[in-house]
Amino acid sequence: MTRRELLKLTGASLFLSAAPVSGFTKDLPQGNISVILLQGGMDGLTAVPPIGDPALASLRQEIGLSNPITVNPFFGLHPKLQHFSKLMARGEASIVHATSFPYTKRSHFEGQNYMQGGGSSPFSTTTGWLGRALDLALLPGRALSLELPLILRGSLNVDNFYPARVNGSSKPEKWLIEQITMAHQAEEAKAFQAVGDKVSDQARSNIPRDPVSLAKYAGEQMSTKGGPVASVIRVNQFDTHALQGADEGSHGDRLELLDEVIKAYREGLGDAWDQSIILTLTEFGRTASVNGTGGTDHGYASVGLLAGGLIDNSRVISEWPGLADADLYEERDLYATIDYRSVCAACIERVLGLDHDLISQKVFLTSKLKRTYDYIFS
Amino acid sequence: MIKAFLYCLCFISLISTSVTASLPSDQTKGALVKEDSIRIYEVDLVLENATDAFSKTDFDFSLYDINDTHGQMRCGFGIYRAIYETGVIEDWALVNGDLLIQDGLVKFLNHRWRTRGLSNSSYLTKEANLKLTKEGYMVGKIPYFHLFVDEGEPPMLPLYVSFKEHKNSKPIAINSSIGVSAEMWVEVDGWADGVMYLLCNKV
Repeated sequence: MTRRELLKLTGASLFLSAAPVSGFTKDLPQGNISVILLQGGMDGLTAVPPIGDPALASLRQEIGLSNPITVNPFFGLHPKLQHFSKLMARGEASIVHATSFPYTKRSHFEGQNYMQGGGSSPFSTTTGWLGRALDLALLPGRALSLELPLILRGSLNVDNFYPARVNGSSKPEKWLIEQITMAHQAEEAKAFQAVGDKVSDQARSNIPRDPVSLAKYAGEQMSTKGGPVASVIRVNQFDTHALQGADEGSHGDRLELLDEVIKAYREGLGDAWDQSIILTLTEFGRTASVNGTGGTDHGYASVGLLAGGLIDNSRVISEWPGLADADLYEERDLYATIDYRSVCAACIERVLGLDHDLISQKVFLTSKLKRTYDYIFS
Repeated sequence: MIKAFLYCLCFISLISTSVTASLPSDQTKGALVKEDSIRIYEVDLVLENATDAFSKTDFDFSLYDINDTHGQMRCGFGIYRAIYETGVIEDWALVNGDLLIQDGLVKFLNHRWRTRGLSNSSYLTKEANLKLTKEGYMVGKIPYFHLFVDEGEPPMLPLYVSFKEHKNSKPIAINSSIGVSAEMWVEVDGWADGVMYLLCNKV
């Protein structure tokens, strides 16, 4: 196994949610939403370097890109994001830069909880923002995993199961679901029966584990009629404190993997791509300056990548804060000028057709969230 | 029994959680985020091969054993709608004509769509991506006009449908030399499937 293959296999997990169930779902959703959790803190200045900012070169001497893809005179794109760049050229991908959830404590533990919980602060909720959004849309969910990630937890009953490959494990799964089905009647029994059928399908099929294959699998599942409308995939190892690299290297490898995940989603979704939005989510960005070991440390703002057929026009959306010392947050980090919760809210509004104020209050638990819908989807 | 039940719970759990009852105040908002003048930076990106990034008939053939050693086979074909609810196969073809199977690849020859509108032979000729498996099934993806367009109606672009090893399909008996009939079923949408009737001869 090569190093690259090993990197691909690590830290991948997939969660599919919100399969519309007859009798429970008020209206069919207008699209589907996929979230790629980039754990470790993606360096937004490497993924989408602001090549037009005069301070960039001096801040990033050791890890500056020699050959970024030119998006426009001010922003570039890491050369490993080849597929994403093609989507941008086709008008099917956008970038939101200098953005973050409003969290500045630079802790992975807190930051990852906050980006999934989406409340007022880390650990302030026991549910996740996507789960609450699915609640509002009256979409009960199903996740493919042993544990349900915080981001998908809502108040409606949620089933989850793990596509285990342990010998004999499929039989008791089936048995249990049959017992549960027999204990219910009418629509509830049908819902459990549907889960049972799914378990049988999973037991027969060979579910992949690497994030690229999982993304393709997720896309295929979401493209089926009555399939899930939400999926979450984790890609980790963005925490590059040392030897981050530039065009090549560890951070570039992760970006290439991210690029392949987006491509796999596109392939799996097929024609459903036209009704899809994929967005990345990371707990924080990284320091503007390089540290003493050729890496970057935990920072504040990063970048959000959005792709899908629901985007009509590619663009970079930002209120660029600048990279001069005085413009940096605490003179070290890229400042967040766009609350990324508002970007997530816009995606929910587009996919689930929910009102922005309702999303603001019930999903992100605030009444003051700015509406960025028109910036992204106009 | 109890042991088996506990074992199951390791893999399946039914979870019910609740949204936080009260809406907490925003303790971290305001000072941390400035949202005064968001700007849109237009994209100047033009890639020569951007339009080639995807084909609408891309298909993952890795799941199938493609038969690339059978030589040439020429077939007459017609595609008909099969009404899902009634099971009735309509008696007029959406499209009919000839195709050639060579080294596992399906190439559409002379054919004619009956659906009017935008339908014409260039779609199947240029875009179809079908292959023959060793079991005699056609798999892949093709453009597919499933609705007839009357005068005055807005023309519609084709759907792109995937042929897989459908349970109703009757594969081509590859080793027979003449007069081999076959059926390839394809899922199209919620009200009608499609079925391609084939009559093939080795060339």
